[in-house]
Amino acid sequence: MTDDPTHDPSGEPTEPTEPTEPTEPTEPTEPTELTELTELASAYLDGEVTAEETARVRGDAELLAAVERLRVVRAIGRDVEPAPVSVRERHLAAALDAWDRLPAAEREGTHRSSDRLDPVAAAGAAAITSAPAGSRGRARGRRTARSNGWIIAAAASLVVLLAGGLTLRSMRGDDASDADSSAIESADGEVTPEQPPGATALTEAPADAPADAATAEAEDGGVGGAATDPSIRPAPDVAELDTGTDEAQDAPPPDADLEDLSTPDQVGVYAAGALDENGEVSTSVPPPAERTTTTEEPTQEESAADSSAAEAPSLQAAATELPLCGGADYVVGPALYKGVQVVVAIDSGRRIALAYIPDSCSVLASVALP
Amino acid sequence: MASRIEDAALVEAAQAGDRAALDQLLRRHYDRIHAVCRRIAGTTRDADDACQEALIKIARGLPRFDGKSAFGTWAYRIATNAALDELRKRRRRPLLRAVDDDSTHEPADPGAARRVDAVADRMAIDEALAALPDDFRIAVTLRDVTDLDYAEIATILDVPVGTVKSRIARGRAILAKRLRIDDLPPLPPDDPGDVSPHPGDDDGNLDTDSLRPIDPT
Repeated sequence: MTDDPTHDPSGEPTEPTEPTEPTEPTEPTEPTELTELTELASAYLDGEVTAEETARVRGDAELLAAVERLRVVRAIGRDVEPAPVSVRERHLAAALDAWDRLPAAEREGTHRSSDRLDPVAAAGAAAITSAPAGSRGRARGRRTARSNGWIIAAAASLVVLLAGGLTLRSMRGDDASDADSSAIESADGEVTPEQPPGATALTEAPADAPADAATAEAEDGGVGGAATDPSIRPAPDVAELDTGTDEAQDAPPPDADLEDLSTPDQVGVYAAGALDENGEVSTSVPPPAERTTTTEEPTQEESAADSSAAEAPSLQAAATELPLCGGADYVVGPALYKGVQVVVAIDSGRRIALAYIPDSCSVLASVALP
Repeated sequence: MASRIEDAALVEAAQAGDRAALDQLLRRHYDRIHAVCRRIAGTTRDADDACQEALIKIARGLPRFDGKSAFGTWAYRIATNAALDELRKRRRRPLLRAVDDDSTHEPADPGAARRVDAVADRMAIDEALAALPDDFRIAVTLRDVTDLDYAEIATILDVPVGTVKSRIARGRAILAKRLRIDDLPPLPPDDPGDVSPHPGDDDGNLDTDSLRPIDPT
């Protein structure tokens, strides 16, 4: 007999009754003895029986048959079709976005990038929430906007990494990279000798850039690193960077120089290249709090990158403009992780290397430093 | 147990601001959260909405999660409530319901050699589950989808353990009846010692080799 007072079978028909309204399901009932046996068989199936009850079930063929019958039911109930990957990723992105939007006070040790991401996400949301929410109502519209905002932010990261890739070339010291650097500078229009060229490309924008173009830029991927800080004008878009000079047009794809990583271990090894002989993070990397808003002059150490840095990351100029995510406090530089443009960074406190998409801060790999 | 320890570590890291830990934590539980929503909310659209709502609530609520219960228990409770919310919303909407024709519960091919083929029709399963009273469906779902034990389910539902036991048993019995488990053709007898009382002993897939003829009484 059930001990559920809300499901007293008294007065109910024996045969289950199909509800005409789902809000008022009719309680199907069984004879008391049958219910008791069913409960025992069900509990046995779940391992929620005493030794005495176990012995009783095992000695009763009818009960064993009931157990088998319920086992089939259980297997059917468990067989739930998983969500498509796209749906899963959308759901997870929305949850992480919600977490990012929490006030910093609610998140101990929160990373600084969340605040910077807000303008990007807000631009995306503004662009989409103006559209009809559809038959599912405003709540669904808001969710869609959130999700799409993340996608737009991810697209914007491509622009950041594009500029970072070009900047990398400028750090190599050959003539071609000098030309690339010039291309960026030309596109930006104004570069002071003290500013790292990559930083300029990411933080400066044409003076005539429309101030209210955030939505349009978000849609065409034009929201770059500048959009991550409301005090900085939008970065030039891809077309500007690619067509600034003939040299720029001949330049290889922006990710051609990026380290191609395919495993977390490779991320760790790549990040370890930024460590000094003592296994410490190079102090030449500027303080993280200033990375996204300043264009500090590179130090002598940064300018004098040695030849081994062609393989190991010595990308401070570009790194200074890449966001910190996932608890990282030192950016190593941009890279490709399984074909996705990411930022490789180090959490020096936990001594782990991270690979993440800069604008969404989605961590794709996390591994202890070797 | 190892899983719970890993969960606890991820929760701690996420509460310390580690976004990657939160991402990993949500991914670990995503399939079950989605399955809970799917089974309780019923339709794919409502389940998707519920799942997203649940994940957002989990992410927002994680800083306040005190760890007194397992993360999974806490998360599945949120998923259950989110799915119920979607269910209530749907029931407030004008609804076009198919006439419940009992013949639709007939196995597609009663003569099939394998029971799994006869009961694998997801539509029939969904219909049978949807027709269960909410209390039964939720209890069965929490047990069969999330593998929570009766005490944990009782905590989530805020009912006595005995009530959980009763709801699960009766819910399964109704499903068995509606899915015509009794009417399925018997399989050849096999090792009679295959009955396992432990839920973790099978992987949730239909093991047709372990099925035996059912006493119609």
